[in-house]
Amino acid sequence: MQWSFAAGFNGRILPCAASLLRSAVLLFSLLSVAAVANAQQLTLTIPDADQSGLAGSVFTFAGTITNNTGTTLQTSDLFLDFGGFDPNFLTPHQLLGSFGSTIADGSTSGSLQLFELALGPGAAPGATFSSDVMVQDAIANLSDPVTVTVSVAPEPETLTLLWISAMPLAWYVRRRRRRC
Amino acid sequence: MKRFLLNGSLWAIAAFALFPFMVAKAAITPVRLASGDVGVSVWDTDVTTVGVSMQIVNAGSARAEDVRVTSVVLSAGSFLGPQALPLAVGPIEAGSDAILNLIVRVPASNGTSYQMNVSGTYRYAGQIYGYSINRPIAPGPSPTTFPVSHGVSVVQNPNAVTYPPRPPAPVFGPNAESPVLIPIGPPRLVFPPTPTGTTVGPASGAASVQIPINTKINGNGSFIPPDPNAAAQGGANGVVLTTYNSSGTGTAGGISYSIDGGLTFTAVNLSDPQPGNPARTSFFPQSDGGLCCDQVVVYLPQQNLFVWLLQYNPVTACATNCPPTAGVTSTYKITQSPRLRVAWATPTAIASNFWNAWSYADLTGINVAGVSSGLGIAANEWLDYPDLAWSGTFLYVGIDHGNPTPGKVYTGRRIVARLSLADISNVGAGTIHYDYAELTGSNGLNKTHFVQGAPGQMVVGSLDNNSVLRVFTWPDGSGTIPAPSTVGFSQINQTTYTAPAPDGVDWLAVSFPGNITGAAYIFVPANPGGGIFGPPTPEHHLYTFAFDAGQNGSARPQAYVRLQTVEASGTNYTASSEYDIWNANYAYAMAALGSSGNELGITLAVGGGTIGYPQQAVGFRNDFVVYQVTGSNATQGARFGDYFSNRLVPSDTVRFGAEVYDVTLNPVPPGFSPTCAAVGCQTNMRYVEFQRPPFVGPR
Repeated sequence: MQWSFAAGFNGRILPCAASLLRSAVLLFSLLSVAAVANAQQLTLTIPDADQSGLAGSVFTFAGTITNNTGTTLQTSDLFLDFGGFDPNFLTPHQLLGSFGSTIADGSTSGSLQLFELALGPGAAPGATFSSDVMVQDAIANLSDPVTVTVSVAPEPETLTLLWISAMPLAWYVRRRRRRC
Repeated sequence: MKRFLLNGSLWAIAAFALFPFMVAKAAITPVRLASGDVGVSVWDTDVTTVGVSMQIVNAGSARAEDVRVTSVVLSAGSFLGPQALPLAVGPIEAGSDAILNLIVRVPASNGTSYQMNVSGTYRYAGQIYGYSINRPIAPGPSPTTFPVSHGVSVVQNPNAVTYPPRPPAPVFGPNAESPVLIPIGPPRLVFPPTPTGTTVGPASGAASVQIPINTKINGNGSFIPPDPNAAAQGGANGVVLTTYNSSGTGTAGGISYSIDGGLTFTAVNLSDPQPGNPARTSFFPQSDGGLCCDQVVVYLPQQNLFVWLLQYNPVTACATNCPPTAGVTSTYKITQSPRLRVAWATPTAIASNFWNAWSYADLTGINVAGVSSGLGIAANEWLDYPDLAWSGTFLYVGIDHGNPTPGKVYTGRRIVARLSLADISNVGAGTIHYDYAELTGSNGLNKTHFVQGAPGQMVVGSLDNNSVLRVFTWPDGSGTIPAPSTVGFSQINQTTYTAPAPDGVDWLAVSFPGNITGAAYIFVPANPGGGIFGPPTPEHHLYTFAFDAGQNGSARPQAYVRLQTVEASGTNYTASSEYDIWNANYAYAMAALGSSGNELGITLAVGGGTIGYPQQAVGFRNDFVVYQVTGSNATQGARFGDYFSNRLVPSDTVRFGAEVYDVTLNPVPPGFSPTCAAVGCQTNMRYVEFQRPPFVGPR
């Protein structure tokens, strides 16, 4: 709503307002990042937290773990907890710990294979499924949750049909632009 | 204009599209289910069958409704029970937990680690969500040897040491919140269940049980838990010491002493300066993170000494989200391990000048030059829930090993130390020599209590699971701790410990079911000539261990106390008898035991059902009646106990002493509900002695 409201002002003010608004959005976003980046004893980071693919696929998530527990940790002593997902369509499977390595206190691991999410075959194209995931150690140090998502991509046949049906629309837009 | 709109729109679209990637997304629900502590026990009847007791913690900020387990999968092995899936766990409040008891089968119990996955559903805001918790378990044989280390502690004179200012209050509670996890063991019935219930008699006692002393000591405020403990010299002019936690500004603990056999007491606030000597700013120096709690006192007749143990806090510092600010949860770390302080004094010195009667030696967590060699823990770990016992040679100290997470302890571990009584009773000794070891391999080692009166040795028991007791023995003449002995017993139900009071507070659910709450030794002499009706009988060395048991069908409709007696042959033990303190109409729990050598005295909690608010009662085993010695009209709420003691009082009859407490509700203004939560309440400590009637006939 704010954007359409801004567009109603005269042309001189609007660019300035838009610029301010852009800056505000960026600032808010950066501040939000800073707010969630505060150190916990364990911190889980998953760069590629949003993936998409076909129903029935298995999605693999990798990431890093930052250890501020005061002791060196073995990855085999770490385990993952999942929550908040739709149990009818998502099945998590921990990979972490399959290959042991150490994370010294105060350091961040290299990229680790963390877990897989199996997406049920009945998931509808276009739907998005989320899960919270946390990492913990044996003495109950627990990271903040990270939310990951998997989006269900259309089947290839559906995609082809979509492209075909979109072609007249593309032609129409191109024609309008030329007229302008 | 159009161009701007296009640009502006693109910015808007870009910002909203990128926003999820630029900031961490809010969690899907405020429920966070994770595993807490885990206890594992390999069955003695089949080493591929394993009982697993796992704490499911809700670390989030909202209640998880209707938690169910729909799947239990191991990386190798299978789920066996105890019931078919799905299992209904019920709701788990934010910051609370539920204990999940499972039976699984594994290929081998040799220490191999198996990944266990527990999955299921919970409900939040009317919607069903899934959860999936992973936890490795490594069932294996329990250790059979426990390395013993040696240490030295320097004797200190409280009037010749420095007194640092009291440190800031610790950032976690006075005791560990870690549960004692007792997995399901093999079903078995070793002895027929005790057919006779135990009733509650009046505070006036009865013909066979006299209660000559029931003295109100003082109010300790409203500190939870009070941790009562007491010991007595005996006699009309004998010294009695009672210890407790107390609340108030700058106050952590208190002690009251009597020099008239317990008829009157003088209270000493351990955080106050010595009267007339402001340089001594507290009773003992506020070492480490300051005096915590968990005091224990005993009287050693042979040495004519009182021994007093005090637990100190670790030093903590903000670890994350620092400095702490409102609305943001900070975490803390331990920066210096704490100590236990062992002080001693003669009754004569106490009666003469209580403040100047004491000497002490510290058992620090780590080696501290000029203080003590330590107890072998790390600098970022801590100590909790101590206990004392003694033989003719050693004073025994037991303590839980706290892990680096403030407020948490390692499951199934207990440090034991033995201090030379020759050194302690030697007025000229400058140091106290001691040995220590860490017992492991049994889930119930946390918060376990020593056997009182074990002759010439330290004996301590622990539940491996709900049908196996493990007994550790450390003979005074041995430099090592031999392999412990296991004894099977009739299975208890460890899952349903509830006894709601009239105010709705379940005082029993918040205790620590699973630990040995008290233990004592009895000697039955041989009868070489035999009796009139029987053959000669050998002598018996009987060790009785008390622990809580949950409701179990129609035979035990209320939680009760099991007294499990085992007979010793060297350091091996066999089941001797089982005795349940139970009643169909109310619950019993948390029994402490004392021994006269041939009779067992009991202090325990009773409440719920027709008793109502939790009370304390005293009595003797085999009487099938205990006597209520408190008059509480409220429930403190969070904790009960955390422990009780029952000490033999030197006397010409069989006499025991104990400290108990009343919980008294504050005045209830109109419109308020009569609960501690609504209007507050006070804890009033009491000292009680009870006895068999003295023999009055010709001797």
